[in-house]
Amino acid sequence: MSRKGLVCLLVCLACAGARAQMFPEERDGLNALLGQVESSLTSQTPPLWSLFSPLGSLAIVDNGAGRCTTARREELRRDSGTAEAFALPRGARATFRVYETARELMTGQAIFESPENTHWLATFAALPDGPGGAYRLTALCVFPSDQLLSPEGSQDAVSVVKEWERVVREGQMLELRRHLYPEPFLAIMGKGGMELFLYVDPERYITMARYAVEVGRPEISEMSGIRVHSNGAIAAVTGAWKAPNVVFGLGNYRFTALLLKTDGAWKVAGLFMGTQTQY
Amino acid sequence: MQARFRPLPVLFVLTAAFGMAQAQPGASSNGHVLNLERFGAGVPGGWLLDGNGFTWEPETGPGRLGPGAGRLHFGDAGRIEITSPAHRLEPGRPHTLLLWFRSEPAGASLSVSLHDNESRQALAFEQTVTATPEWQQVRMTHALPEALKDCYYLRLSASGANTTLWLDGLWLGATDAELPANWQPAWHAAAVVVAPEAPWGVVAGSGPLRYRVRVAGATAPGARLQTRVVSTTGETAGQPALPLDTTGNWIGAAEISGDIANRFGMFRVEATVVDPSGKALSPMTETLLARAPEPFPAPFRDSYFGIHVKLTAPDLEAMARLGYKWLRLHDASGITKWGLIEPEPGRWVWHDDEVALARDKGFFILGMLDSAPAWESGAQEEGYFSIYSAPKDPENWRNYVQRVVAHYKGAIDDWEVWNEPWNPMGFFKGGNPQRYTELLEIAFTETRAINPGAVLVGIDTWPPYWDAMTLAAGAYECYDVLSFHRYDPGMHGYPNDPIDRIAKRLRTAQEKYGKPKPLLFSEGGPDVTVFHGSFFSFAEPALTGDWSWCADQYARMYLTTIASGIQRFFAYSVHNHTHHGHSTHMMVEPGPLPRPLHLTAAALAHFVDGAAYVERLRPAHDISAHVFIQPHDRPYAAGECTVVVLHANGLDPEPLPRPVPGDVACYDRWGNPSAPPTEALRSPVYLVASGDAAAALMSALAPAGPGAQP
Repeated sequence: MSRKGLVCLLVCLACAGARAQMFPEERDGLNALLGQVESSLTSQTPPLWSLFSPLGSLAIVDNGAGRCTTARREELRRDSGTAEAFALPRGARATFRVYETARELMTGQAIFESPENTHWLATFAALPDGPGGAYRLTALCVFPSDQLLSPEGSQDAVSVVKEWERVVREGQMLELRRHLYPEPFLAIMGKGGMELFLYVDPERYITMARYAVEVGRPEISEMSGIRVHSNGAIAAVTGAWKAPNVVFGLGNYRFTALLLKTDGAWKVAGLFMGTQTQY
Repeated sequence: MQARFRPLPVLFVLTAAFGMAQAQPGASSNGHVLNLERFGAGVPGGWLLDGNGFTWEPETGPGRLGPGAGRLHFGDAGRIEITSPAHRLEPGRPHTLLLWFRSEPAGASLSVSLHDNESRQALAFEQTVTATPEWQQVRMTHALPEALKDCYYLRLSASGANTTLWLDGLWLGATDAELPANWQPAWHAAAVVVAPEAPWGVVAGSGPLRYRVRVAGATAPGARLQTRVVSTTGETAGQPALPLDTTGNWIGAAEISGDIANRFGMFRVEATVVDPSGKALSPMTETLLARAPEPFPAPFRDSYFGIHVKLTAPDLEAMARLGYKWLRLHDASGITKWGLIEPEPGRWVWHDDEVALARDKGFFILGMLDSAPAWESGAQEEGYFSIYSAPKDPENWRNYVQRVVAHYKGAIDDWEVWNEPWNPMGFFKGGNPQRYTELLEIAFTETRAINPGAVLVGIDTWPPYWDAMTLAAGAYECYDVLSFHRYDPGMHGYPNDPIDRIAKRLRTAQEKYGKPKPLLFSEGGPDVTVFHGSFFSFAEPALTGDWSWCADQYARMYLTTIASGIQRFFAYSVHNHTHHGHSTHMMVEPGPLPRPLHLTAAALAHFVDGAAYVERLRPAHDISAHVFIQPHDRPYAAGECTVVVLHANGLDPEPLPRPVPGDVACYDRWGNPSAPPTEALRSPVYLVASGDAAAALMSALAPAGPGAQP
């Protein structure tokens, strides 16, 4: 896919996300974080691990050789080889950025462009838990984007995400287990009350999701505005999801899902949901 | 007894080699995936035993597999149910179940079934048989149907009237689909069961860690009990072997010995009967014990530590040793709930002995003003939720409040109005914020009139709409303390964690109406079993989680309660126990036996109960050092001292910017003395300093520089 095509996709996404209000200081904070990410990926300064939150972290990269590297913050910190897998060519720049806000849980995407005109799509989630309230990554997923699949070609990844819509409506959360990537895994759910539920283990996530659905079974579960970017090995799926629940409130969520293809099946390694709804 | 020992038939051994498929992980040497094989010694740790009207003894006479069968005598109407721990098995693979049985006189009924651990549905090996005086064998081979998490448990139930049932030779394992008709596994000759002497296996301070042992079956001369102890500190220690006799029914007791016995934390005792050459004569079975640091003296009203527990002596004793100081009467005991204590108009059921027992053990009680009998509310449904409809007549509610508050005055002086009233589909059917506020106002007025010193706890919120709407309806004037619930398995304790945010939100919500009143975290916890952890060796991580992670999480949940300025936290719950591996809020093993998370909470209570919380220091951005001043004499310091609870805010280790001064006493998450930490970990650790050392410690933990503090 050409850069122009990719930008068009992201512009569409930006339009979809424009409904969510973002304050200037939030945008400034995310710009600062993306600047650090750019520097880290291209010059290893600051070290990538230091840009991640210790509360929970997920890093994914496809270096273009058909191999995905996944890591958590601690692995990036202790294993220089793992950190090097995330390196982009010197001079690569984040040329287009889209942010979405779901209260303090921020998600976004950016295109990195090298001087040789190759491109990578970076999808991230961030929390303001750094020094002075600075944003830190909870997830970063980078993959080459010059040969993205068409949306139609990525529907198998979307259909996995759509399973969430179905099982919540039907109260069959355990059916999601087969779609979860075992390790590393990270799910963050931001409530309207600015409280976060954060899970680093798929078994724990599924247990709590099941409980939440049992306590207050949503009568509505509708996804909309779904966008997908995939190179066949990694997929980033974003969209909106309405699923009101007695515990979690009216449930107008924005979500970003990061999927990895394993043994021919898409598995969700990262799921980031947040709502702006204050009941 | 030697004459009774019969070598295992060669045929059994040979056919076992042919019939048994490759053993599954965790299976014993003969391929049995469970550790209950011979029934004479009773039920091993981790198994759930229920029933009534029966006695259980070992059969020392020759049985189908030699001495060592279980002899269960049923009285007029006896019944028993034995449930195995959940195990991961391979769906689709053939498995065989064997069980020998007989009864005298004939007529005892025996049922077996293998269940999906999640749905609890019977999936395989369902059979009910009637026993005769002759030995018979349940013998089935099934390819296992899929279970939701590939985990299964076995249930045996039996009943009879004035009859004796013998059980022996239970075996479940992977086999070939077609087995020779006479195939038998290589049966063990004996069985051993170990169980703690102390309630829940918990001792406090320096008490001995004693356990009882029962061995049944054929034990050749020179046979001995081989025991190993594993602790949550990561140590393993062999214990002196216990010589056994050859009676076929050896009963003894032992005490964990050596350095490992002095540790705080949990201990797993693993026992096997071996012959003189060291060959196992029994499956390895285990039990759990715990040593908690000396709790702060009870009673102590200002304690941070509450729990839901049944009002029985052993349970209360165990909770007292773990440092819990408060009880909340929801589910664990419904002795103040209207729906349970006025079963018909005007007939009141009081529970003075249970309340007195709890008070004698040093507990304070948070009573519940809650529920309504179906005769009053008009509720039509049956079962647990039949009492959880809003009352029809406020004057009936007023009468109930007057009666119960007056009756327990002096014994119960703290009352919470309704459990989870925000849930109109469950606990407050027919209710709404206005209705709740009306009930709260009545409860407040009447409690004040009858017991002016009483504390009334109200709101009991979870979703923000509930506190917002009840406060808007006028609730602010009608409570002394505002309560909330939260189940959250997150790793708490970091600044602005979810519980801290709830506290801030609830203070802000009250500010519209007046000065924010104190907060109480009256129910919650890490949630269900996968967030509890288990110290049994056979615990399946997909079911019971990572005990080490869970132990840190639970202590940090109490810690953030304290750091957020909340009065206390009532964890839910330990009032019941189901089979090991079942997903439940009960933070307890069958037995009951403890889980490691109680021991890290006990260590926190040991250090900070009785102390005042001062502040959170952040020596580095991702490190928290919670500072307490402990004014009381404690085992770790005479006179006033500073206690610091140190941990990394997140999941990763973080290096400390400055060394901990050498004259600071350091303790691990269980309360054991330790070397000074060089990094903050997910696990809370304790730093204790007095006098000049306290000042040096504060300097070492001071913020590292610009940006270290938010």
